[in-house]
Amino acid sequence: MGPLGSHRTAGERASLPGERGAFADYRRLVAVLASRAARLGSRDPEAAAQETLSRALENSKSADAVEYYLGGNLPADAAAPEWPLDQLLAWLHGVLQYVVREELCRSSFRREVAAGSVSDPADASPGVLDAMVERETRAVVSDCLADLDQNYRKVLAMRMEGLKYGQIASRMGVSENTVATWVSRGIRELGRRIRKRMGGSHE
Amino acid sequence: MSEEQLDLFARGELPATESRELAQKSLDDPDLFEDLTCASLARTALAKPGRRRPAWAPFAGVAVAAAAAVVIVLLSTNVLYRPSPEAGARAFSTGTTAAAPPGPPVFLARAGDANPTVFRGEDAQGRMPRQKGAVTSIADGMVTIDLGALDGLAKDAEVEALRDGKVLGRIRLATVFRERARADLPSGLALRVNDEVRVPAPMYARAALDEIAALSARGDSGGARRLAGQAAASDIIGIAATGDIAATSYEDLNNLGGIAELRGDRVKAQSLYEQALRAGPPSDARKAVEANLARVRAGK
Repeated sequence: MGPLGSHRTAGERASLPGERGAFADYRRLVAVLASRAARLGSRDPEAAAQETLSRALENSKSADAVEYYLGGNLPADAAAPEWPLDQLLAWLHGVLQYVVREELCRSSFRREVAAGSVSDPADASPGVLDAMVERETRAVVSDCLADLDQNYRKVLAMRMEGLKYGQIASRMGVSENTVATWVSRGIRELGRRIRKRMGGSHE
Repeated sequence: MSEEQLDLFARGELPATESRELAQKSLDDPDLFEDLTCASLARTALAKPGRRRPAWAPFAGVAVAAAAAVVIVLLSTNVLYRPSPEAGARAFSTGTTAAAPPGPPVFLARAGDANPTVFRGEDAQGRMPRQKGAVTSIADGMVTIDLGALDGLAKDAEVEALRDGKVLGRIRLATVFRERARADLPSGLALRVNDEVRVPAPMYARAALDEIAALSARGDSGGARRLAGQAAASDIIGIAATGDIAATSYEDLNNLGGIAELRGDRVKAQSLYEQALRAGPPSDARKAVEANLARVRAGK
């Protein structure tokens, strides 16, 4: 059972009868996912959003995180899920992207996704989806990272090496607060550039 | 929502309760949801080792791919066909009847194909492809059915709708997902929820063969056999014989042979195994096909 105790298990969540029951708590999530699906090119964004949610609810870890962060009726004593919010959002992005591609590529007799249109075949394990998200994100991040302010790049690179704020501060001759600020600004700026690259920017 | 909250989120230092508040706000603000998602992607890619796979490590992807390739090779050779030491030392050939290991047919994965085809959650119990399903909802001029890509359906495919065994008409699919699909409700077709829908036989046959290979690729030989047994109840062999599905690879021919064997049609099974051998399987797969053939010939 997940950390939500009295809440449904992943299996129960996935097997709720009909879409109405399964998605009643997640109307707003389906709406934002549908909006993203439309930007990714889905011809049936709501169905893509529902499919993504359905798959998220099949996996105990993502289901617990979806229920905790994005569900509508959380018990007051609910414990935090294993996944942090950023891990969940990145995972949902990967699933949605895959679902949309699956939809777009399914125009031939064969049900497989057309070769070359997806960087990696999807798999039964979340680990493979993680790998897919990582590969795709890495390529985008690598490009976007190169354009970042030099200080942001340096602190992010050192964080990637596992250095703590204090260690980075002493190497760069700045305060720990400055390092923390550069890390958050660097990540947020990187996020903005990724968004622009993915076509989700209002710019 | 404050800038400080967003900074903490970006650094991965926002407590879970506040992350939930932020997430809930983003559900009413698609722009914020997008910002959070993109920042999350950045953080995921830059995550510290230990918490997640180090996506930023230059060769992490290569390592994953290499490991996957090794797994694929192992799955498609040693795991799928595990000859006993005795059998392994024996030279199987189409002309030999000496090596005839008893037991169920061995099904093959496609070479180089770990191809599970569809993402599933770790807890999901994968169901087998089905030829028959049902209308699950009708709303706003759209019909939803509980059959999908897993069952061989593709966009623009037509499924038959039936009630009490009587054909009502056909539905052309507009959107197909893994286990369900949607279509515009055809005018003049008085469909109801729970009406039966059927996948065209060649599509189901193709899906069953694909899934048998995929299950084999995952090392789930029991699942492959169960599905083959299920497929044996349909006329998949007859469909393959018509050429409506392109079953000319040694893997498909071997697996069709296995289905024929499970159906009790040893003559057909032998013929299909022989065709599989003529299709030029690599050595390990060849041993598996030869073992199947030897068993059928020996009548075990």
